[in-house]
Amino acid sequence: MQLGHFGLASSRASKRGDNTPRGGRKQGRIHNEGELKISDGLGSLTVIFTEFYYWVTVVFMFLIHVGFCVYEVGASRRKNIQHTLMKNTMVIPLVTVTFFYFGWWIYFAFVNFPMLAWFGPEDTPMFASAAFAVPWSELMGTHMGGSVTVQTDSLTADDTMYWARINGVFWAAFLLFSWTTASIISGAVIERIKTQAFLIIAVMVGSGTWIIDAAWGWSWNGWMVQLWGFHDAYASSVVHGIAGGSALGVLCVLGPRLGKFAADGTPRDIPQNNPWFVTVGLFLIYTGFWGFYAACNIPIIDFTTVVMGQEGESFFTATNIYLTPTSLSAITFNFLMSLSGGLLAGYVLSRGDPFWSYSGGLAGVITTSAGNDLYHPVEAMIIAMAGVWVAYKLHYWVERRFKIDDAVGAVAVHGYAGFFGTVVAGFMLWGYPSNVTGNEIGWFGNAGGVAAINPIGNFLGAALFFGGLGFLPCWVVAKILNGMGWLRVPREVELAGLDTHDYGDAFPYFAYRDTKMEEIDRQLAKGQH
Amino acid sequence: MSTNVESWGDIASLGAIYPFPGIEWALAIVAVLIWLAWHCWQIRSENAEYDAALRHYREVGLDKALDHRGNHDGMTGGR
Repeated sequence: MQLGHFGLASSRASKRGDNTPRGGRKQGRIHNEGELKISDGLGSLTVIFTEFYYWVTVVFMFLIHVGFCVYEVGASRRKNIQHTLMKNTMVIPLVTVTFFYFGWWIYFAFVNFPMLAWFGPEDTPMFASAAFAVPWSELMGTHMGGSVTVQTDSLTADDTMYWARINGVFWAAFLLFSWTTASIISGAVIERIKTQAFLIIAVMVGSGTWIIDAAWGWSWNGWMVQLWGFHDAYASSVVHGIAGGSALGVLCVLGPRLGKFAADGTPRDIPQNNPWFVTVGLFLIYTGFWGFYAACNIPIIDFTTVVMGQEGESFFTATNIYLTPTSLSAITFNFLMSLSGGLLAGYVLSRGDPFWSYSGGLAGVITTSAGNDLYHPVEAMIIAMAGVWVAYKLHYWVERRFKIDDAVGAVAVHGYAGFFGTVVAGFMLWGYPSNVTGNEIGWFGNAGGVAAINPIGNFLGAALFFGGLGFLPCWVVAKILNGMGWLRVPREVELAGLDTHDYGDAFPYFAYRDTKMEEIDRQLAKGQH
Repeated sequence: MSTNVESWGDIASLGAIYPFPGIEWALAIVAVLIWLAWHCWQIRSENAEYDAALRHYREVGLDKALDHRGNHDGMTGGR
């Protein structure tokens, strides 16, 4: 079977209106010569290893959501714990089903939309074909790779064989990114947003805006990559920047928690109910984030023959999402060094505060993620430290200046750090070839026959994701929801606590008065009942 | 039952092996309706809950609600 990684189109794809590179220096060169049959030992091993690899990353990434839930439960006050937990938990089913319905299709269909159709190679379609990713595709279910009875006109036998094995795990890997993107917003808005509003926004971001940005800037053939040379290998802006911008858009409409600001505008600290939960949650997020890094790679591909279409011996390597080379070893170096740089900086800035030290570790990794496929580990550490400084300072400045109550610092840790890190990567990686399409159509310079990574492209991309796809749609939708009375809980409910009427006390045995069970215990002790 | 599978012997020729292949469009429509219906139910339920809470707090007084720190039964003398 052909290695149709990430929808890499075969030479036949151009006949069906797909997004196969055309008009470039080496038109359609990708993997035309790299056929591996599933009946071949090497081909089978490669495909089934890839299937297993993504499955493992998905399990690891589940810890990100566990971490977010634990973290938010620790950060919210006792009167809001269960509402906070359930609000974020329900991201899982809702984003999952909607990502099945349309999110997965968007990723493949929107790579050209609209810029490559206007400014790309001749005859580039506005929407690419993605027959294996629509919810009514047979390949979105249990499939052995044989005949496809429904889409025989749009899927080759090789496509079918490949996606029958990979579709579910690859879909799930992206889905876990979707949960993360939506869940980042959750923490910022705790203790006053209605669950209904949050879940509508979560679906819009998790199965809509973020996956559009991934199609544009986090795909081997996305238009931002081909035209702008955009590079964000581990999603500084693709996931974190857009999530931070989205959270800020909602916060601007939602307003601060009651009591967050004194009458003179001075911000008050609202203590967490359980700092230990907050830090354990962040530990879990670190762990899941490591799995996320692995999930951003293609684990094994014959780079010389399949990706570059060159004659000669095979050279197997891991690549990033742009199909440019990296290795698990490299990203492990850089993940740990940037985590360490972030922790060191967070500790110094906050003078050892647990919340900001741990958040610094996370912000450090987020900052360097754009370029962690290529950085030297010490470069990663230093950039991480700078990113944490930017995020920490901006958080408090925005809080004081604009009265934005970001309950967990999500806009800072994800949004500001992600934005900053993407811009830095544009400078640090200036001149590297950004992709392997063969299309020499970069607006801000070319290298190796394709668009070169550059500061302008990365700045524009970071701004587009944070502002255009993050802040703006969420601000508009929050305005609409607010106008309908669906955005914020009533004042009395917020004061009494969001758990008070609906759930009851999260810690009934710590109540100031005896609980029902303690009363029963007394009655039992007296021999009653 | 429509399984689309008569034997596991020729696995290379097998395609979709879930029950009732061919009804994927109908399943997709049902799935979307379930999703939208869930949102509708959740919005109505949550808003009704807040309306009930507001009526209750106005009846017993918000001070009492604050005193009871999430203990709703305690507010109504249920304990």
